[in-house]
Amino acid sequence: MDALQVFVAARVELLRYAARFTGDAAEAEDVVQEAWLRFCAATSARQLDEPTGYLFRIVRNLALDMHRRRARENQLFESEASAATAAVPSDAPSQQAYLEARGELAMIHKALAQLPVRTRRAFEMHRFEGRKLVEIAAELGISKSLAQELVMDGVELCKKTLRRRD
Amino acid sequence: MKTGADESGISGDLSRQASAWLVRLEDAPENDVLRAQFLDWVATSHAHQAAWEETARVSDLIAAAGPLPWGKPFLPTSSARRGWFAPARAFASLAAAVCIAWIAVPYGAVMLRADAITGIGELRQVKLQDGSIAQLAPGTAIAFNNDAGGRRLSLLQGEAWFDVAHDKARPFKVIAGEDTVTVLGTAFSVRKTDSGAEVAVQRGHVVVAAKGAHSARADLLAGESALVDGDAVTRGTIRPDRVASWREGVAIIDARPVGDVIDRIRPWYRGYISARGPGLTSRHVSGVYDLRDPDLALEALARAHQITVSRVSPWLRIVTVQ
Repeated sequence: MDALQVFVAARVELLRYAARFTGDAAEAEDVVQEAWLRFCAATSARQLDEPTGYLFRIVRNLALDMHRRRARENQLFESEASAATAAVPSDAPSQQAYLEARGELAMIHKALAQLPVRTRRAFEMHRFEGRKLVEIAAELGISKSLAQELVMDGVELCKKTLRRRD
Repeated sequence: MKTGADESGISGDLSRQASAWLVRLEDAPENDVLRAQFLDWVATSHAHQAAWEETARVSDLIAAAGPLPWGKPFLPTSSARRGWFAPARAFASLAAAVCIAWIAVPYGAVMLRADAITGIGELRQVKLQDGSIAQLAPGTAIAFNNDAGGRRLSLLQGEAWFDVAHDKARPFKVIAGEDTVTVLGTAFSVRKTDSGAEVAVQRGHVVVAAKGAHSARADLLAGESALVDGDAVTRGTIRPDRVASWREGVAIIDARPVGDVIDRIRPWYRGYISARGPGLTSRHVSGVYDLRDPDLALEALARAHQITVSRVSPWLRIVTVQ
């Protein structure tokens, strides 16, 4: 499996794991997304023996780091560079992989932002909420085939946006 | 321009067709007919596979990116998103789809003529009217006739192991395409290939006749094997306890072309395996491969030199042999 597949397969567990440290679902989201970027950078630099375990360690470090930073902010202190920052590989290829991965995620979000409201809602229900086409059709008051077309429009726009980068 | 419409309702350019497959397969992961149609579609050409590769990757990236918060302007560098959601459920449903038992791609005409068939990854033991036993490998179809003309078993597709009930008066013949294997009472396996057949004897004595211009034949005893390719018969040896090792879910390979090994893995894999590259016929490998875990078997192959396996969604594996 490539890095992205390892990450996507572990994502649900990673979010649960991160939320145990942050205590906050939205912050867990941020931690997990940042973990993907660092994981991507690390796998570009070398072959990992235990990629999933490594991914969980990144999440743990980032979540603890966020927790510490929060504590410091509360004390109105901001001091040394965070521990997790040290986990960002500094060599050029992995740095580049980090930036590329961040660029890809930003492009997906850029594409989503451009979708018409109804299309975006259909796309999100299907891709992120695991809803069936018939449910989407019922909620939006459209036919099942139109619901499918709308989701496909979203996927196609993501593809086109990513292609333009190349 | 809309092109490529078929009975499954998939139309548009290849990219849009691939997107339609993504949406429809996830929407109905239990739909075996749809999955069989998808396998046909992805097997059409390298361009179809490339379109699926892109779509599967973009689908993963979408899952990794997660939803954009509503009511907030898009900020290119911000990673701030809010809202708990069921992440990557789309992927999870894809993965779940593979775990659901899958009924094999229809064999079309072969199925209509067959008395017994097996699906992907399925082993089946059949007792024939004469008391003989046929054990079918996955993706196999057989037809049996026991009449005045004698005992005739047609191996329409795939591979089977036989333990033939002894009957001197009525020889037992296995017909695999143009080739015939004749026996009295013995245990052996026959595998039908694109251009001939492969026979291995575990016990007793069989006669292999290639129905070519020279009508070559070979007498085989226990521990002997024959590979029939067109008119040519190549003899070999095999440990009798290793005949039809697929019955135990393993392929024991002794210096065979990579393409041949992949052909043995195919009937066990629920998706489509695309094999490419000049080394498919020229490069030979040896080893023991776990057929019950085709991905593991492909990984083991990949550890040999210059073979790469890429996994594209749960349904497509691309093996490149340099």
